[in-house]
Amino acid sequence: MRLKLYEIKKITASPIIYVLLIAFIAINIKVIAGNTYYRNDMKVLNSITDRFGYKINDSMLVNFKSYYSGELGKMNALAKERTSKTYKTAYDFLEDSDNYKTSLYSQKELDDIKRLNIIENYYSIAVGIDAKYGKIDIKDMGDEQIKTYGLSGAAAATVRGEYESLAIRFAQLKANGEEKALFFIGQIYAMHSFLFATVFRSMIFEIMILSVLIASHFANFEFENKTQALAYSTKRGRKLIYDKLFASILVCLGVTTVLIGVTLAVYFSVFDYSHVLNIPISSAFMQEANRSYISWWNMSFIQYLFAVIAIVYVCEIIFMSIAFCIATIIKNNYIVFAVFALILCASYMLPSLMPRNSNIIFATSFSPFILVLNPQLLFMEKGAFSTFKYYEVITDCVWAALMAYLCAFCTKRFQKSDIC
Amino acid sequence: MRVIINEIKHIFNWKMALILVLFTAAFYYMFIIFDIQCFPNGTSNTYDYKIAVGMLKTYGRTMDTNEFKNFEQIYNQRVKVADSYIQSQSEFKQAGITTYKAFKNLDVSTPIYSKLSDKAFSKDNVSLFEKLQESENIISSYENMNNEKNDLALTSAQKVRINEIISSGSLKSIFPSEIFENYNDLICYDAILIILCVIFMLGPVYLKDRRNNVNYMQYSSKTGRRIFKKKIASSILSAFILITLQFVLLFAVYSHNNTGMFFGSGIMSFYNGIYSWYNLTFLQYIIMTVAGVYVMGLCAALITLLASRLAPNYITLIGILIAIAFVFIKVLPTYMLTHLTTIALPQFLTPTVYAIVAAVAIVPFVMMWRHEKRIDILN
Repeated sequence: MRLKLYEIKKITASPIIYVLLIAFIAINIKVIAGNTYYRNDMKVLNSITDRFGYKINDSMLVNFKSYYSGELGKMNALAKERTSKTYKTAYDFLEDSDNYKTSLYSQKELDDIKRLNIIENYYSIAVGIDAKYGKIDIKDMGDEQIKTYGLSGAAAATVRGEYESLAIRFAQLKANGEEKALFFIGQIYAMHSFLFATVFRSMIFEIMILSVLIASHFANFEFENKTQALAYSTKRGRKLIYDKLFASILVCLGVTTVLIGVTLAVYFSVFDYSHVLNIPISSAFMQEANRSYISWWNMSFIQYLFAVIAIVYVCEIIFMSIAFCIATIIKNNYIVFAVFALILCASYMLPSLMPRNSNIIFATSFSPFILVLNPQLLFMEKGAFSTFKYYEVITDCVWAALMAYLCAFCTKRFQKSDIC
Repeated sequence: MRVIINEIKHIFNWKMALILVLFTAAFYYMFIIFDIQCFPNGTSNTYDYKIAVGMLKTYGRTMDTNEFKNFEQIYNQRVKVADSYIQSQSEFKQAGITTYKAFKNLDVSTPIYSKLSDKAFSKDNVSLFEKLQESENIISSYENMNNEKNDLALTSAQKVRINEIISSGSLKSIFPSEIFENYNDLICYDAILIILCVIFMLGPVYLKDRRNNVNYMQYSSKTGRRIFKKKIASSILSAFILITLQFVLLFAVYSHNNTGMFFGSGIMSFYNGIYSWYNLTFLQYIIMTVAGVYVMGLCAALITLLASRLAPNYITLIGILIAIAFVFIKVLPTYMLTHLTTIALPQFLTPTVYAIVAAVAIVPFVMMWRHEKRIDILN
């Protein structure tokens, strides 16, 4: 047990892990801080959910409409009093440049009307959900994907089958009313892709770099410091590789926790998500630029967040163990890193090299490297090659089992390998 | 001299060279081949390219007002051909369309338009309608060429330059944006590849000797102390060789794009989006960007050498190199390479950035050389 603790202490031998961790946290905070332009506008959603709740149903819409009409009436009364003009919407009011003359309206009144404009946006999207989601045809989406990628034969049949299952799920989604929940408007604020695509993706690649460094640092520590002849020439010394594996996993988990923890703590203190934690992830308000988020599972936002974090943990352990296995074979840290980069490139290139008419193109897409490319689309419909109900689960389980076997094999092989 | 050649052999040893070749192949496949295979990208860009090549043959490098009138005449003749085609087709008669103008004015979202456009843009028309569309774009761009760009927030220096460009007629050059953007993408991706290759190759230069304790042998003699300088020389030579090889590969591949006829055209054109501080031709722009990549690569090489000299072990070195690579790939290209000499950046900014990067690369070595002659290596 003491040996395991000493192995973990080896992380302090090189301060680079701490320095990189702090640098990455700083970069993440800078990215988050760079997107706070709409922070105050987003607080309007909290006031709406306070008043009406986040679920959109007929009674809620009626209350919302009467509230909105009341506010619009107040605005028009004010406008009539000051300029004897009335407007159909708050947007029209704000478009009329005459209203910005300095003595006409106080800043507070203009701010109130800007808030009303935002409430208007929410209302118009809320009433348009049924029409929008009625037009979505899942099977058409599948056919379009097949056409885009030029799939045929067994591959096309697989895609069609998956999109048919997705169509059943979509019908269920609409029956549950999952898309009818308020969220920060995707077209304007794009919060879903900001959190998951921008912030999470950079976190995943940062942790990937750190876990590869950690794995090769631990595995090659004795070789780096030329004490391999001393350490590995005893029976207990050879078994050190198991302690190293244990230490790598522990430090990798620790680093992941610190990085994700600090970044998300900063993120959720900057953006107030307290009212929208329980909304279904398939909410129509998340739609950004013609892409709707259609999830395979009925998850709330907080469940989705934890699911994504779990996927990140498993994927980082997989990356770390890939690097560990490479490191037991190649005794030079520098080359280990380069080989890992080559494996990364190969796994991105492999699906496009496969013939477009067989199912092997999907087998090669079930890779953790491809999985982490789009964290905002996990558990959702995401194109021809990854739209499977259990895509994330299968990828992670298969690769975790594979890496467990490979690590066991490499560490066992290390017991008898030549260390000179 | 022999030391330098041996050092270059150390840098290009077979393991690193193999990884380099594989990485170059993977990078080309993932990022660069697209800009070669899919050039021009899409039907409208294909016709832009073909029309531009035709214009070069007929009008020379620029299109002045007489030539523009000629272009419009050809366009009108083609419209008449399109009219006669439309009148001969039953689908158009059914929809009540008798002229090309009426066809253009249809709302694109209606199903009638999709049916008619499928017929019109089909193969048996020998791309008549595509040519007409692109010609319209060219004509409207040419006519709007001299309009004041009031909607952008311009500094006074930028406004002066734009007026200078407009009055000197540089915008009459024939140079589609597709070609410029294609080359810009290629050179930017290739710069990333070159920087990564240079940083990878030159990482272990000083560190390997220190980990093997060979530096004890080197630093205990006067000739050995000079190896510090010789390693710098050999690294710069290796970086130079590496960058040259990469450029030979890039331009061998780029020649498949058949853009040679545009080398003499000015890069600022009514059909291209960039305004530049200088009146450059395409060939001069290519040479400038290649020189820029050489400078960037050599500066990256020197900064890598600095990291290699200072890092205590490989893990720290990789961490520092990741930071260096991040700066050179994400932060610097906007100021140093992308759309070089565009007026979106102040005129002094690019040379200043180059000077700063070169200073950061060179000054530490000048300072370190004096120390290296006397430094104590035992602690």
